[in-house]
Amino acid sequence: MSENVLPFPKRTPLRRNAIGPSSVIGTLIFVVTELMLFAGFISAFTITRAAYNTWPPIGQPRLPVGETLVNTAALLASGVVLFFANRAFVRDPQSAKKPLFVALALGVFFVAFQGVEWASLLRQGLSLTSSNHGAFFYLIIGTHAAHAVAAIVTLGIVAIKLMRGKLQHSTFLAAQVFWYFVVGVWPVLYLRVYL
Amino acid sequence: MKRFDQLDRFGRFDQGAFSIIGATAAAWLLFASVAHACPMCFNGNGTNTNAFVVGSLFLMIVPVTAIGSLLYWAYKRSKALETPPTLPRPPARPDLKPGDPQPEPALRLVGR
Repeated sequence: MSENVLPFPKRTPLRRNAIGPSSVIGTLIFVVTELMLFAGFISAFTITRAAYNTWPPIGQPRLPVGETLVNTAALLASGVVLFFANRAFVRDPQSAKKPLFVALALGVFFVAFQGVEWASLLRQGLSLTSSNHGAFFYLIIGTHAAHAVAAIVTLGIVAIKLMRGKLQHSTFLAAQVFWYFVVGVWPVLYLRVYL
Repeated sequence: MKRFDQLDRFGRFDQGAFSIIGATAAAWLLFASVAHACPMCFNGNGTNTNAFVVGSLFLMIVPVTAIGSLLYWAYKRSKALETPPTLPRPPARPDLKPGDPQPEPALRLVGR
């Protein structure tokens, strides 16, 4: 090779900073799809409900509005506590244990309370096949409860990792995003389905 | 007479005939009074129709809002990551009086 030929400059690969952890972005995209699922349910429920002159239909039990309001407060409180758990985690991971367990306990209380409420409604004759009222109630609220259970399991895994000192902040953030979705969609469901 | 599904000498469908069919279909849709797509939604009850309209709007707004918010967040994050780092301010020098030459900064940005 001729000595006059300069070597081709080595190109440094262009790297862009990630806008966030992959786990958080993935959870956000998942949350958007789940949001559409609930939007479809709410839309179908709104149209069906409008066809009735009285709601709940005659002969069907009324939903426990007051008791569920307490449950709603517990769920919203769990979201607030989880927010403070994240702030504590940033300062000192071990200090996040207490608020994380409080948030987890409030979430478990919410699901357990709903279970009791469902048992009572079933005894009163409200079932999936009793009417449109029952069908939509168990479909919408049941889907939310399934999400709440999944979020509680996720928070449980986060808590175990925190206890072992192996929790990464991105994992915590992703679990938070999912829990905030469960918390955030509930007031809309409560206002639409219960009231 | 040329049929709309006949090919021209270049082996293509006759676009003019397709345009006429499309325009006729569009005009027919414009003059249709009510599209009874769902007998459950249009049962003669006014509130039902309103609920259908509200439900349709809701289903249109939710995905646009959700995906738009996600993209806006991604845009803001990427913009925030592109901002150059700022140099720390030099400590205050009480021994310097106004009018004295400013000392050289300890760190200086070179290029970008």
